[in-house]
Amino acid sequence: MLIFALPVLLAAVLGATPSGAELYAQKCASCHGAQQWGSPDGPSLRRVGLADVDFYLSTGRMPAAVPWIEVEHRDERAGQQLPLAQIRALEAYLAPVVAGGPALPQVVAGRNADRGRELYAVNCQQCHGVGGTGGSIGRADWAPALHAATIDEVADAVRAGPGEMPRFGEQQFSQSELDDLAGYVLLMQSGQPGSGIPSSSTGPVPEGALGYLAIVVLIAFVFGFWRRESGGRSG
Amino acid sequence: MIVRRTAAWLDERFGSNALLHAALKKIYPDHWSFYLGEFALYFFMVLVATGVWLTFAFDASSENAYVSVLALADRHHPIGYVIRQIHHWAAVCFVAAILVHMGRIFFTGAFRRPRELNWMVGLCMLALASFTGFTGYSLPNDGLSGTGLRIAYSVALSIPLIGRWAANVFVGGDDFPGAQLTTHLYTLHVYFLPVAIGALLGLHLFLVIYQKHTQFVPDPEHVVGRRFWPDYALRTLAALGATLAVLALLATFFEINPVADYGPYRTWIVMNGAVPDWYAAFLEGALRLGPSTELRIAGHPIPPVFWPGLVLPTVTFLFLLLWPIIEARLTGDRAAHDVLEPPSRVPLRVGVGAALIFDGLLLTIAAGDDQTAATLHVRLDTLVWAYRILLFAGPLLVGVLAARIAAEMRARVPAGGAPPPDVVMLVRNDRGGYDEEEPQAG
Amino acid sequence: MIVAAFLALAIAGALGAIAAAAFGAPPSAFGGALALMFAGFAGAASAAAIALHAPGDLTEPRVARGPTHARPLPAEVELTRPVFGRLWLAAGGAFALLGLVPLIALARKPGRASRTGWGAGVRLVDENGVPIPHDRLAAGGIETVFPQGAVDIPEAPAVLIRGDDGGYRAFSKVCTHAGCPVALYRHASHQLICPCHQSIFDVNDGAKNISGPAPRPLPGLALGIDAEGFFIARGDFDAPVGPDDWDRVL
Repeated sequence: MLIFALPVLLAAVLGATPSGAELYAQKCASCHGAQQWGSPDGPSLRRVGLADVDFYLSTGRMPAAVPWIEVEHRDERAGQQLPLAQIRALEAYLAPVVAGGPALPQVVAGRNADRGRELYAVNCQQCHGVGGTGGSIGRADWAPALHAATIDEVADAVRAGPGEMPRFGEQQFSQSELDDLAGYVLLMQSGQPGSGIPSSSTGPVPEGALGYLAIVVLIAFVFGFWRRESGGRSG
Repeated sequence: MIVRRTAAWLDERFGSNALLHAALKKIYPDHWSFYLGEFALYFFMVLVATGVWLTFAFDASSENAYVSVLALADRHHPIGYVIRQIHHWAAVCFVAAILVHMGRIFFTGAFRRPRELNWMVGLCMLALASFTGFTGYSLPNDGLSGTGLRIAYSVALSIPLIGRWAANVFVGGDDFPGAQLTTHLYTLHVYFLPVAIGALLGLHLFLVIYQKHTQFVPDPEHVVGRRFWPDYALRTLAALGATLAVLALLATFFEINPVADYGPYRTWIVMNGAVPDWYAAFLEGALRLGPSTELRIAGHPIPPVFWPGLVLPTVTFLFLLLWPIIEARLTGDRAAHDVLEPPSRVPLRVGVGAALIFDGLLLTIAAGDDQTAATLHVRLDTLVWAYRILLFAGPLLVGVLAARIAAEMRARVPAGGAPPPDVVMLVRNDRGGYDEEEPQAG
Repeated sequence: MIVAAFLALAIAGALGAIAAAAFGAPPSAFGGALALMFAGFAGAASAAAIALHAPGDLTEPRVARGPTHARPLPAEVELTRPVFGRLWLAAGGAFALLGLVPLIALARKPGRASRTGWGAGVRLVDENGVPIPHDRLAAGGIETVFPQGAVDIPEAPAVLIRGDDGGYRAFSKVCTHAGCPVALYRHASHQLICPCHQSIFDVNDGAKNISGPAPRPLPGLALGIDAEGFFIARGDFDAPVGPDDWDRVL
């Protein structure tokens, strides 16, 4: 292992980006296998597609910081976030191996908010919730919140279907639909979902809690007033 | 001056000044917990006032309901926005206030003879208030409330024998949502339910005045308290002001029910984390914990939603409705009571109340079991089983524990007597142990 | 005096609210002014109550309202001739029974719609009515589909799924528990999940209900491909759609 680590460390010290092969050997091979066929600790990367690889690397889900935790259900960005140059190097290295799966998507923020909103409502909000707040998907798993997602990450996830997320290919979502959907995710992040009407509500559960809090405040008012008035008589 | 002249005008025709004198002189017992019912009353008044305004802004047809509410959700129309926010917050607080008030009545035994009927009237108002809230937040025909309506429709369908009839009456047709659902909800929410609540409210207040309010002061022969004017009137006005101020603050700083986010309802679209408003959440939790077994009677299915969706709330409601009679039977106490006692004096009631509150809270929390499971990193099906076990074992444990604690508290304090002194004198006896010295009288 | 101060606050609040409304200020300004007005009112009433309070309790006697031990009918109005009391009661009962008739008639169509819009040869279309070509989905993909010409029928929506193994399947989207759309798809675990009460259906086993409160599997829709390469149904769903009811005797 140390043999592989040395060039990477040296490169880091010298400020040069190590090669994709070196990066893969040091950060990925222990779980995904030296030839990307996988191992008991990690799945095969053969034919998964660059979209998948880019998603996991860009969001920092991979490389896994603690490999023996079941990472395919991880929703936290708990991995080591590699610098962009290293991500690109890894992708260049893996490109021939992962080819056959969804390719790296191109995306720009679309401007048709209505269509983006419609696409989100039909295809996304049953898992990711209204406004991209995330939500449970059964067992102990979670569709992540979208507050920090970049449009490239959104496009990657949509095309690659990482983990349990469904895969939406080009026959299902055209490029312009993907652009509009990504643009809508950006709108949600700026607090402008819906018909351009911003909202700060967090759902019926906190609303109910606040209602009870209001009652408590009122009781405190009356109690304090009554207490003062009657000199603390308890009868 | 104007007031005097108006009163004189009325007095000439109705002899009303005598009534006015009696009303203003009337004595009401005073305790901070007696204001809880008033909070409920004031929330209801706000609901009616804001609701009347909203009827002019709302389009009750299924197609246009959502768009008309969107206009009210837009902060660029601040008056409509604030009025709608106050209306929805008042609904949330209204049911909460009723429940807290009901808890006070329950635990202090104010429902005992001769006030059993008033208890039942109040309980009916709780049920009506919940229905009014449910129909109300379903009016905008948005994605969240529409999902809840679909579930309610399935519960209606599940009733044996008359399920299809009930579901048809509900939506005005033979499938969901039908063309008339919003209109049906509208007439229910704006007319039938508030009128029913208003009528029951009138009866409720009349009974309180006619039978006179209960009190903590241990004097069964007299009402001990303050006069209505100026004492009580000013205090209740202060409570009204506080209620309105709290509502205005809530409406200003906390947005409620963002229908613009939910989008219009469509039968084939759903969102994650869909839960009803808090007062219906216990039903949602019950549906999630409920069994999947579908019984059959001679081939007729009884769908599983029937038990948690209909049987559970009905049985609970009936149990609570009849509680004054049940308690009188179980404790053997059939006397009339005008004096309230500390809750611990009737440990049975404390136990039953604690058990009910436990299960109510559990079912409400269970409505969010998917989020809880994901947050705690436990498997959802494991959590569901844990809740199911708690649902039956919990109230037993909590109820028995609460009853025991109450019994101990009761044993320490003789009826109507003073609590034991803080300082107890111990005297060594000749067996080597200690005896309590009798407390000095006075 | 404190009361005067609070009342001044209340008046200021009211005027502020009017001004906020007149100038189109955002809701927070209007609501905040309202809160000020109400708080001023509450404070004024509280201060007045404290100021006007005379110490000590007052009493008035409680009057027991009952029992009077009198018979329901006073002697003056007792009936002098028999009037067939039981027959009157029977007539009243019959009238009440008659009242059931308009009640039952409230449900003008007491059946339950069973038309789903699906049948042999009916094309699958998306929400916009566009037919679904046979290569529409990537492996692990899902789309909501409708019968062509019947997009509005509530029992119609179905989910078209392409599993990780590449095979297409279609099932009713209406949950057999309480009718919510079964929209969550976990392709790696081949499960459909309903978000309302977390029923889980195994896609590789005919959408069998493997967890949660749903009592039956999701009805399946047999698929075919027509001459132009679009998906068609080979018939209706293989089971009734959505939750059951008493009259759905199987």
